[in-house]
Amino acid sequence: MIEAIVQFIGVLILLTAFEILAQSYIRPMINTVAIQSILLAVIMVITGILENRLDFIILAVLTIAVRGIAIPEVLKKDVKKHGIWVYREVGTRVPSLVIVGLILSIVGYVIYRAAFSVMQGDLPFILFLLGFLVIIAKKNALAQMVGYIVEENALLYAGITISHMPLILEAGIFLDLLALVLAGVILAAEKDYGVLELEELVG
Amino acid sequence: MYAEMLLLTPILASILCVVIPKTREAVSLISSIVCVFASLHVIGLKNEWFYIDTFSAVVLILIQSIYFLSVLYSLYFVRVVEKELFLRRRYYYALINLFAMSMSFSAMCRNLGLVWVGLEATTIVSALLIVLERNKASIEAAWRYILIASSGLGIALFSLILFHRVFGTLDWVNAGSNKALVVAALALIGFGTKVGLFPSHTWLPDAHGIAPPSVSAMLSATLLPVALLAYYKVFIPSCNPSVAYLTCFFGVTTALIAALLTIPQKKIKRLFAYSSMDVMGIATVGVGLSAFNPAVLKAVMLLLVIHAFSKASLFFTGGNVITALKTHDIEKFGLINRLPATGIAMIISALAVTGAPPFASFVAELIILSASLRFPALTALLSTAIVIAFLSINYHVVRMCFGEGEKVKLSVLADLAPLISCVVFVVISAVVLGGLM
Repeated sequence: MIEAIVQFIGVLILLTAFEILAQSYIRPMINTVAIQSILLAVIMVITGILENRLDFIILAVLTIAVRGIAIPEVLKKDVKKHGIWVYREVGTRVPSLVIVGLILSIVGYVIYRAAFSVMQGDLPFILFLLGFLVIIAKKNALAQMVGYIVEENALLYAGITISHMPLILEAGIFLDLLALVLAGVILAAEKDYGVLELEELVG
Repeated sequence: MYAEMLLLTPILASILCVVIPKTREAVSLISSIVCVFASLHVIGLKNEWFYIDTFSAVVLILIQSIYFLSVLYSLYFVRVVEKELFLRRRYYYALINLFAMSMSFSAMCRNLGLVWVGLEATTIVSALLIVLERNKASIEAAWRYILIASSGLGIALFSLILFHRVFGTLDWVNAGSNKALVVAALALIGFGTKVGLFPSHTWLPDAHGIAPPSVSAMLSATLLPVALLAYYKVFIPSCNPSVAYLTCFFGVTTALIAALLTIPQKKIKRLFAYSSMDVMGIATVGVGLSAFNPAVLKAVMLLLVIHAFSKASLFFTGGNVITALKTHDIEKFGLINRLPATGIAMIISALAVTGAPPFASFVAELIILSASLRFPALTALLSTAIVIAFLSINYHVVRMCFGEGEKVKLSVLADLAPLISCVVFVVISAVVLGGLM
């Protein structure tokens, strides 16, 4: 029963990733990633109680505090400051991106199952690929930041479901630190030079 | 005790830089000197936390030596930067110390989770160092760097999660041996991003091109080898012929593409960045070939040592050109006439980094090439990459160094770090050649 609930929440998390891919407004994208982080925290709490792992519970608290509340709030404040973010994201072709996301999910599932037929972890693996896609495909810094948080969620999800990895709390802390640095760079850049948009991730 | 010293000294120095800003330069210099000596005493250290084999020891000594040279060069460069700085000078020195510390931590740890934490910390610290100068290009380069490097390290963390599942431990020394192709492949792509391997190398020329020369030197000469060492720690337990072929494939592709990309370069530091990518590609091929012939790993270490000192020298001399002649472009400067010490150091370093005889990098590349002879296609591609990089980089450097021009006066400090670097790799080359004869 509990396993079914965890699986169900996992599917919800995956759906939030598709919502982020499909969304061309920045503010709903940030709200969705906050919901995704909170859903992940629920899985962490359930797994932590079942496995008697305090670090998973601490990780859940951190997940809610940093990626569920703090970073989304900072990003939303930035959206308010620059009117442009409230409107549609320029230049990303959303319909084709959703199709690419679907194809990527199927390919990811097949590859993962072929490599690890008995091992759980296909959902986090697909989520990770979708996070990667958000970073590559979206052009503005705030959307890429959302993609980074999706990736981070996927990694922590994998850490608690695939191997119950030790040091996952430490990894989570460092991933959060990097997320804060990313947010800091965006804020600093936009304060001085306006919106940070990169045509591509190639110099 | 010495291992702890390598971690605690830079942390203490960072705190002092922030708390007592006036001491930032002296404290950082002393910290780097202490670390150089400490690194010589940790070779062979094996305990619950650290495992310092020959490869780790070589990388550790490189980190501390380049840390010292970079702080020495910073004494000149940070003073002469005219534009408004993104960070205050005290934070710059604090972060340089922390950058060295996080690389040392990653190189020393036996737990792969901690190795990853160390590398992630290097991204956090170095991203702030790249944006020393307050301009949009710096911030965009830093953004690209953090985003690509963190995505790569995300893939690396995924590989470690699978590693833990497959091997039941994160201790690479006691992991045993398991033919885990997917784990190694993900680690290659993940850590490879930090090594600068194709196709996720795009952050490298940007970050190296924009960062201050002292930071470019640390990124190129030490961070890339630290990331290669991290991959090596996954490569050893999961090694099988398929993993070795994959490693060689990524390595040779990177070397070839980087060599080709050096040809049209117009900016001094981007040229040197692509040269780093080329050398790391060759070193990655060496790591792959070490699966068939473990002796090749010694050639990889030798290549990394010569590359570290010669590349640091190239970035420092590039910094001298930027500050003295106020340009980032590759032009006919006549450096030999205008900045004689800088020009000579640049020519010698370029020859060493491209594997010209009699430098030890020539011997190292020769050993890697001869080990690749069992795969003729690999030998052909690798030798093509080496020849193209040699001709292209030296052509650009010769263009900058020869010609007419009036002498420009530079501070003694500007030439000190590149000249020390040159002396070190010339002495190492002489010792290696002496040993061979």
